[in-house]
Amino acid sequence: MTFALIGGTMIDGTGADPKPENTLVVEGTKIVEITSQSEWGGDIQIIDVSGKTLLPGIVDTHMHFGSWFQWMITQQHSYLSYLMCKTALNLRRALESGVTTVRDLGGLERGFVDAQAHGLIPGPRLQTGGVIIQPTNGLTDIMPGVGGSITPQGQTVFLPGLPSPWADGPWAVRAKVREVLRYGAQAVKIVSGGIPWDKLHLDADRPLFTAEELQAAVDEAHRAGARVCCHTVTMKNAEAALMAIQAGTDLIDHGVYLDDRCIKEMAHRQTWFCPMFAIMDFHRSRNPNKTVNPIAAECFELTADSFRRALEAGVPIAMGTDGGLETGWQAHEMAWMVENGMTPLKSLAASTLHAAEALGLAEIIGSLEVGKEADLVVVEGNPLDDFRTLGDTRNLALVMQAGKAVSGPMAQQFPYEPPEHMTFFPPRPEKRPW
Amino acid sequence: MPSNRKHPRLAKGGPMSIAFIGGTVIDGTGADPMPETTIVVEESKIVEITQQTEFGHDVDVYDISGRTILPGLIDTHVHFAEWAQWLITSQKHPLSYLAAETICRMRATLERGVTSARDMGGLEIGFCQAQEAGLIPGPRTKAVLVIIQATNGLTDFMPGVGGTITPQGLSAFMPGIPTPWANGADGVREKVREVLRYGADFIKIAQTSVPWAQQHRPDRPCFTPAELEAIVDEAHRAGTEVCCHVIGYESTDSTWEAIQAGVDLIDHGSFLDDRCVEEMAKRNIWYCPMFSIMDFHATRNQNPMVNPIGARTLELTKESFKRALAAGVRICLGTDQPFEIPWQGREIKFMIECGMTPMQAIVASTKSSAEALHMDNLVGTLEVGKEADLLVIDGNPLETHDIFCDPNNLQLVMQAGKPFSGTLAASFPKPPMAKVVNFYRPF
Repeated sequence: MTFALIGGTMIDGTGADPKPENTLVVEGTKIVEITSQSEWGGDIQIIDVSGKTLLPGIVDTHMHFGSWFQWMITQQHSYLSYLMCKTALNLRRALESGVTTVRDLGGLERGFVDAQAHGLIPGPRLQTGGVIIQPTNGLTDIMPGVGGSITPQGQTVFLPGLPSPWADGPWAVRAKVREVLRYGAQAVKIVSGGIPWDKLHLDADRPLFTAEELQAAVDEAHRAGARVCCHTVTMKNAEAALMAIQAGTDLIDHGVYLDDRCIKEMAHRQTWFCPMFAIMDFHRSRNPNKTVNPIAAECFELTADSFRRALEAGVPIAMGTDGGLETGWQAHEMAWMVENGMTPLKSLAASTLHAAEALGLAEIIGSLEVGKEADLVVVEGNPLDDFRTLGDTRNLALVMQAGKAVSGPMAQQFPYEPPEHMTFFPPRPEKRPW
Repeated sequence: MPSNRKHPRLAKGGPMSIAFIGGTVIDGTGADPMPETTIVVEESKIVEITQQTEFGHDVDVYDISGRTILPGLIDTHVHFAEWAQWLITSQKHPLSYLAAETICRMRATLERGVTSARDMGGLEIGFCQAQEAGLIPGPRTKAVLVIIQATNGLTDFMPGVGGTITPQGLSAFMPGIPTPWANGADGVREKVREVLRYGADFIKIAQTSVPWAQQHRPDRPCFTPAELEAIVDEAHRAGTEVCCHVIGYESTDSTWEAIQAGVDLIDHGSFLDDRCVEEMAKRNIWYCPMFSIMDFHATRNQNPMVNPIGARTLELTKESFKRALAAGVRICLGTDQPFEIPWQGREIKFMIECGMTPMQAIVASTKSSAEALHMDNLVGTLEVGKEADLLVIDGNPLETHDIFCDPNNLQLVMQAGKPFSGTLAASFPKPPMAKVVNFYRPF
């Protein structure tokens, strides 16, 4: 089926200026033409989007749709299947809020990735990091419980498809990277700094891994063709971040306080920076634990400062939110990036094409260009004036993924496809599409 | 401007009334069809059945002239997650992929007009809770979790016995599903308690295996009468009922023992003689014949050894069904639908072919099934006060016996007053998505 979205203003996600009155033609799953032509023959369905803006689907490089699988031991009152249904719901809601591609950096079993790709459940296109590789006493090493689930059979298990996250020593870290990739991870998530409000008796800024351990992780991941994302959160001493950058990680998550050495090194190495104002805003204003709020408020300001300096130094920036439990974080993230010195067009590019580049998917998605997948959002008005309007799904007239209308009032203009006879047997698809 | 803003009641957040006018109502009770009758739905419930066709501005009117409106189908026997019973064979698939498949099957089953169902083995209760909480779309679902059976019973496969070997080297079932095996009167009583503790709504037992199983004669009784009585007694003490899988092939002994022990429902019941059907009628035992699964085994099971045995079992089931119908046994709809969707239309066609009138088949698939699931206070018929679980069908199911087989005939599936699928569903206003959903729970 071929259809033409006519009359809308197009912002293609590359950073180029908006193009008014452009027509975008979609055939199958792909964008096949971008033209100023507005008259079409009878075999092409015309969708009039006059007065509206076309954007590429939003790409979020850092979310958590199954965070509970990292501390299942605290979920004894929820059935595993109930938790999985929550994940499925949050995936659908993210897609319906215009987020068409996501990298999950901790907690998402590979099966969700394949299930989305095979059309079993609606959601953003997914990449997963599996678990957050960390040393003993690292990020999610919560004592006395350490994350697994006690089954009624008396056994402690993680999800069968998620390894335990802990490794100590360069060789063990290398083996852990291999293990995580064997479980189907498409990116490797490691940590350098912890969380400043966690384990207050220890230096919050201390590097968690040694330089040798970080290098082993990066080397092993790169040999396998996977990118390494590193969680660092430091407030006074950016040594942990610097170590991660020097070890050659591909992306620094959070960062928070990054000193000039870090910024210079990131610009030199073109290390991606994913600032994630959204999670710090959550912790400063909505985390029910009041002791967290002021620390997170300070982290938010430190992030803003690092972001401005990184921007000036030419560090590549990819949008991420650390969200997944609430919808609409991406819109706020884009607004915060603008408030801290990015132009709106650059902020949008960081949230679409550049984020796709950070994921290694820029040849498939991320911008409205001929040959790319038709992942797009049709928005009421001009979102460049205020990105926060994107956070309200009522402003999303249409969300489209792979040429299929997903949600929004305009989705009803597309023909209804009656359900077909389905069979899940045998065999289930084993091909992994990404 | 999104179209949903044009609907003032949605904007106000006031109650939403919907009137279906002009359609023929088949209410599921067995009463004659009511032509050109109006059904009014407010929020989740049916509030009025009337001849009125003019309504004020506070009611959205949908003209369904020429079409039939009837209760949503209720399938008393499906398997949305049969994989959970033999996880060991699914080593190639992450648990989350299998769970996503279950979520997909539940949605697909609702889309095809099944608004309530009972899962008869494999479905962890969390899926039911998630459906009820609105996390995932699907039929209102009750579950039995596992099929209680003796050692060497229905799903006791050697050398693998169902669990999953995790990469940590542990053999585990789903955390929310107990192992299915129990032996001895004390053992089965404890097992019933355990299954109920895991959240099961009903107890499912297997008194036979399947006739093509290798390790024993086709329909040998699995439990002794003493074990059966212990199961039934314990389930009834707990206020629930026992559904019994029994596939007679050469004799009716297994079936007879189950009936004598007082089980509440016979599943499959492929071989019922006069003594069985008389006793079932006398004791008000439900019969759920499930032609669909034997049709699958006869024609589409890829193991050629199974096909002739499946065909023979299907023929036996047809004879038993006629006998049960004549004896007045209560019959409900079940399909055993596992990995192919949908089977319910075909099952209804089979029931009509084997002697039910189309109206009897519809009642069996709606009202009777609701009674078998103890959901008849909520669903199963189109009556004032019931939940608005209904279907709008293009055509007349009393004339077209396979009308439910083609999803193109299904113009609307509505559950709890909410349009879910079908061409008509698109014309309903869509409420805006809740702005913020927060599942955050500090750990």
